[in-house]
Amino acid sequence: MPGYSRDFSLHTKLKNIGIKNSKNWTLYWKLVDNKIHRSLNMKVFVKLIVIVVFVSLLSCPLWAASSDSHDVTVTISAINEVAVSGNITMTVNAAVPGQPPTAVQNALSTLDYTTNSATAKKITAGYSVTGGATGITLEATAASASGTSAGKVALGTVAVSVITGLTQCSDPAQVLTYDVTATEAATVGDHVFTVTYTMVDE
Amino acid sequence: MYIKLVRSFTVNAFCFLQYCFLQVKRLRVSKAIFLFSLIVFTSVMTTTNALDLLITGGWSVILDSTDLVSGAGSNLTSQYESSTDQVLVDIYNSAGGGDTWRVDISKSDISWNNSLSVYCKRTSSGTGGSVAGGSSYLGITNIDQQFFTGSDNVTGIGFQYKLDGVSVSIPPAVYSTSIVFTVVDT
Repeated sequence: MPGYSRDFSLHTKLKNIGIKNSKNWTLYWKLVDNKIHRSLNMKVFVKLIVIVVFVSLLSCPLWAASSDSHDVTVTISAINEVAVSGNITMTVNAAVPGQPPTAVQNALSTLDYTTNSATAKKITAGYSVTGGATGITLEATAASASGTSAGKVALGTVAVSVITGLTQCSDPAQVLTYDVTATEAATVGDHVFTVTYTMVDE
Repeated sequence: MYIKLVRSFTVNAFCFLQYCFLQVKRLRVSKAIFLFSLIVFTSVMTTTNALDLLITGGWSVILDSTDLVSGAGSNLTSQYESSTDQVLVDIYNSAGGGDTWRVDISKSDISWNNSLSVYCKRTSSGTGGSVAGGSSYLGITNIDQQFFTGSDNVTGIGFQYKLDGVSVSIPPAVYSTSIVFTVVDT
């Protein structure tokens, strides 16, 4: 009971009324207790008890567990990739007498594409040419597993759609079929068509 | 844990009574100062022995077309791993003397895609006390799971993360989740 034994004023008072702590411990401590409890305002005491309990309860979880956190962040960039396989060569060198030169077809190249776009994309194709394109028609048909093929389309210097309706897909090795037709107006020699495929918003 | 809580409360209550008697009976300070002192005193008494945990580091992954498995026509690589010891965790303020604890792990999504899964494993034991468990990848969910255990103060416990479920089916955006480590006295 720290604090009690040093209450000399009370001790003196008790001695003055004839109570000696060495002879009557029980009575001594009862009087000490009564003195202290009377002097302590009970309302304040109850308030203090409530506050201490409240603070203790608030503090207990901190005592029991502690947390810290950090973020894991994943940034996924827009991916719209298109690739075609190697160059092909088509030769127009035959004709049925009385008919235009015989058309030539090639289905040896492929188109690969990937997009993670949630909004629809399409693939367009257009060409640039060296050697002139007079009298020559180049058509392309692109297969598509995930989108919609536009079928056989005539290519030109202005890009046209070959596949539409692409969203969040990855289609490898989609067959590209080229058809070349030439008229008598086409000059003899090499005509190099560089076909560019582009994925764009629909 | 509850025994410690009861013990803590009992000690606090006893100290409170001591302080109460001393202040009111002897020093005769005002009630307001007395109350304030009690609150501060009790808070300090209650929190000084609190186990604490500190995380250093984080993990950010940026995925683009270079992460396609084989270029155009292929999907994104589905799994990614951080470096070992990507994140370091310190456990401190233990009572010492073999004070044991466990660490739980969970995540709190900020902007997350449910196709993505994040895993964590312990890659080093740090210095100081001892740690056990957690050396295999654990899928982190939004609910606390026991991750590993240990005792005493330990600093520099290393962790590695793994991300799984990445594909082009996930729209381009920034996805973020908060990984929460919680140390619990056992």
